[in-house]
Amino acid sequence: MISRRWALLAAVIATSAAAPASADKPTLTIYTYSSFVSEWGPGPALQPLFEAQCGCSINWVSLEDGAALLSRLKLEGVQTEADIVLGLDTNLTAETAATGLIAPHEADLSALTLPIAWDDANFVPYDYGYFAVVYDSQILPNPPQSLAELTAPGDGPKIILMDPRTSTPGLGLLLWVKQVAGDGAAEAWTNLAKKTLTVTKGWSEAYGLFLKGEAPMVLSYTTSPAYHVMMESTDRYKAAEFAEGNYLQVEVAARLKTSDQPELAKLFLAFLTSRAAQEKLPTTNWMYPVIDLGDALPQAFRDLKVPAKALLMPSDQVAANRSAWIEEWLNSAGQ
Amino acid sequence: MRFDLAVELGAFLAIIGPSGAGKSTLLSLIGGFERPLGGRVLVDGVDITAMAPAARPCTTLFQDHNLFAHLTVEKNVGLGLDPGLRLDAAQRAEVAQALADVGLTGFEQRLPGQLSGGERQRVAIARCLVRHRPILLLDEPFAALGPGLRREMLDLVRALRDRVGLTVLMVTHDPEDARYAADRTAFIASGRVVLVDATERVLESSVPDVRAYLGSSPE
Amino acid sequence: MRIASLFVAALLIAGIGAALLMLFTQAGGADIAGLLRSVYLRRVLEFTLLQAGLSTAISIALGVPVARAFAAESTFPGRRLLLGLMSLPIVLPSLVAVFGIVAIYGQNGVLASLLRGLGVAARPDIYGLGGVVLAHVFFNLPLAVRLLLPGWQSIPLETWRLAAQLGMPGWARFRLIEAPMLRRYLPQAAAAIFLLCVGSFAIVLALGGGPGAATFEVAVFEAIRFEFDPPRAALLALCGLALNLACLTLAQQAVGEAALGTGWRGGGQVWPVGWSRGRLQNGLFLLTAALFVLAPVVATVTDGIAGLIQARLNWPALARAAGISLALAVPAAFAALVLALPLVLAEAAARARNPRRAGWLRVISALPIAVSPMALGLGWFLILRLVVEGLPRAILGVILLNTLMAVPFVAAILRPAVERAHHRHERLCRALGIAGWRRWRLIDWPVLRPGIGMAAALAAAMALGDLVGIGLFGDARLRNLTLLLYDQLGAYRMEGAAATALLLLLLVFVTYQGIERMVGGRAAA
Repeated sequence: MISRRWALLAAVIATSAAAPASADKPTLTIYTYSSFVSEWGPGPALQPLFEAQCGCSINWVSLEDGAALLSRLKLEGVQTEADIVLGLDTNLTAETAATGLIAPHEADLSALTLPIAWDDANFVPYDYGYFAVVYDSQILPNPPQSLAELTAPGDGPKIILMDPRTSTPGLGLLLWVKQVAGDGAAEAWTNLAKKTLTVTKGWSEAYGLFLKGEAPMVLSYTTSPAYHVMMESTDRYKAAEFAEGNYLQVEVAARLKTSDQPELAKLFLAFLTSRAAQEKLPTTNWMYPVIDLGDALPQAFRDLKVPAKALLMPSDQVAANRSAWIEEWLNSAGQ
Repeated sequence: MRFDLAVELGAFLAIIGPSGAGKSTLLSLIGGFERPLGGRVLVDGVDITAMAPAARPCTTLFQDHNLFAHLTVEKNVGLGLDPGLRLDAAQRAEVAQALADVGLTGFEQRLPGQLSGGERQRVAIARCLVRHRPILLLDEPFAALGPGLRREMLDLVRALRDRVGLTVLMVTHDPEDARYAADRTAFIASGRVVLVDATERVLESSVPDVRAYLGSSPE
Repeated sequence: MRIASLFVAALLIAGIGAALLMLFTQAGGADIAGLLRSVYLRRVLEFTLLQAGLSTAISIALGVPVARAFAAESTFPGRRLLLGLMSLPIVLPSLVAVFGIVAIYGQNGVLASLLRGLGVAARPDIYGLGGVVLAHVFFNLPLAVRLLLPGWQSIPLETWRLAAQLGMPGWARFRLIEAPMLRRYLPQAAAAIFLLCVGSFAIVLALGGGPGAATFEVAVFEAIRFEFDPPRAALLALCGLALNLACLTLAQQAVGEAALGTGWRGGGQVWPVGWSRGRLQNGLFLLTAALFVLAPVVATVTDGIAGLIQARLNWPALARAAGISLALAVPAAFAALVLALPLVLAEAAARARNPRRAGWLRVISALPIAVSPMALGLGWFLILRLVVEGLPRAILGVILLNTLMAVPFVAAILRPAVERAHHRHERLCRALGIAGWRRWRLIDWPVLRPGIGMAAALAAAMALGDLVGIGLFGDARLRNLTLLLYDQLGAYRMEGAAATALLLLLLVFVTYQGIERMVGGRAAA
């Protein structure tokens, strides 16, 4: 009876799960965050392109977010099944490299058109974006013009933020404020706390609350409005232009030393920055491509204002100071 | 079910009949725990059909759950005087007297869990006494007791009835109880009062329902 | 039964202990003394106690009159449906609930526009402690009702008749009949709710208004995800466990044994119809509670319907996700049943002769919700990694975690029915020498079936809303409906997410009803 139930269960799962990899082809195991391989993410678009090219099959292992990728790698160490880890961002690269698990990418990155110079030997950037305050222009015709204005004392329209301990944009804002305000960061956080509606665990909750009209501003990306333009034909939601510039997020991939498919892994990293792959990214991950796509970049992206300046802290500085800065944030925004 | 029954004031009436015949329902209708779909319940000419149980001139002794397990004997009896349990000295004295009447002097501070089954029902009877209701409805309260103890309890009820002037209606499934304690007996079957008469006559009646119930031929 | 229960108890303790131990063996710089002394821990502890205490107090304070009204009004049409609908929040994924709550009580919600329409200047501001408590009451009021309702149903009919005969006023009835019953039922319900509020995570962050609002679970998450310090996570989980155990033990003490008197023989009776005064009052309580609890659910449904119309949905993907959700949830529910039953049966058997032992069994059955699910999950991930890999590991891990998390709820739902059945049949069964499997088949199963149906249904419904397990053991091939919902939210697909939320709600409801009827039989209610 019991064994029959388990057999039934196995059958149900087997039929509901995606088709398993065929036995004779080599398999490339890629750890990534969940939304990358969701129905709307880049994964399903990239997979057939690469599989046709490599004669292999991809096995996606999806985790919650970039930070989960790093902790999973630390957890598994040299026993990890991953050939590729995809979806870390620049704030995590130093810490990831420090695990000693990452192998040099050996890819030709000369075509990159990132707003910053890229000389990292381990990580291959595949898309990027800028954190931004996105606002509802119907409710808020005059958004703040600068981070200084947003974090100035006094009342103002409310904003929904994310926790830097649990979310990538949340950490991005923490670094953004630190870089702009320096020693004044604590005061800036105290001021911002008065204008904060709430601080959610992740971007999804925050953006959902924003779209429900709970607050006129939310922490998101400069590319967010492109989604609403392209998919919903509305320019109601806009990204505020901040005089100080915007904090940059570069998403990267890397291959693992322990991989038993090093050639496939290298091939995949090269594929990631290829034109074929890059063309898929803007409308699936809603981020900028890392190479110049020319006219192939959707109009909505070309219409977006590019921030005055791209801010980015060295990854090792982030790794060294994150705990202290989070403590500072807790103390100044938490009371 | 359709009951038609008249009971004289001061009578001790046993109600017997097969299970499911409606004995307890009849008592519930009089006690006010169930409402009739039609018809009336009269006591001494007064229509009590719409009255709340507490307002009726009756008090019911159930087979079980007559006491609150977490309250002392004194408080359980005292509830009959004041359902909010604010007892003055006179009321406490009355409780003590009632307990004496049922032979439980000195049991005031005990909890129901420390009493025997018979003692528990005596406490319940003491509460019936302090309520001063002219009609006592017994819903098989002694069914769980042994024959000797049961007679003792029936003696007690009879003695109290004689002293206070109660009308007693007692549901029982034991014809011997009826024979021992009741002057009159009503036989109920299928939701109808089939027969009401002096107890001996009912028990020896040749009505087929009665014979089938008693399972013997008249002696 | 005694051996089985000891085995299960050992299994639960080992399952939790092994997970935490595994975390301690990992590399990491847990500065135990430093952490215990830190301001951070104290702040987390303070806020956790404050929000959990308030949420529990309010949930119980509202749960008592509502459960009482449900008990008193035992026959009104739609009662069973209302009770079923009211139970939905118990199993709602937290993010869906947050959006539902915000749609009603938020800055831009229905309540706000009602107030605007009435010309009231004030707007509701739920962000902060108030919002956290509001959301927790939304989740736990239905649970309180579920856990307290059997209390009223355990009061014998004769007791109410006696009260009516004695003309007890309402407050005296409460003091003399209901309060002693509540003394038995309330501490357990309160403890369960308190534990859930202590372990709350996403809701606290979403509605907390700022980083001041953090619970142990946030700290555990941080330790695992950002510090990557499993021993620190284990230590934090132990702190939470200590708090929860203290709470459970307190509840255990509060229950006492005095109240278990003679009042159980009748059992399962209902309040006499038509004799409760205050029918208007009962109706008012039911209506208010239904409005409070159902409004966010209705908002979720209407959003979902709008989403169904607007969004282009990938039905095959949805169906597959629903299939995976079910395939993971149903085995977990039955496994939880298999674990919880021996515990509860043994507890009932020990109650009379060995109350201490019964108390321990009760605490052990509640243990899994006393431990941080993140820490538990990570520990088990590490353990399973040594044994299996790939898809089987993910399946096993998710089912295992959901099984553990469901045991306390299954036990809580089963307990009243098991105690009643035990009280009625124990001596008879011993006298007749009916024991073991035969007793189960002939006596216990038919009597307990409705309760078992309800418990299994609840466990399955809760597992359907799981995210911790699926997120932790994640495998791209194992995308259940909850994960799909989060994916949609993460990809700007708000309408699609609303539609998925509705489908999830429907799946939960249908599964609940289906299992309750299938397992519980016709008598289930």
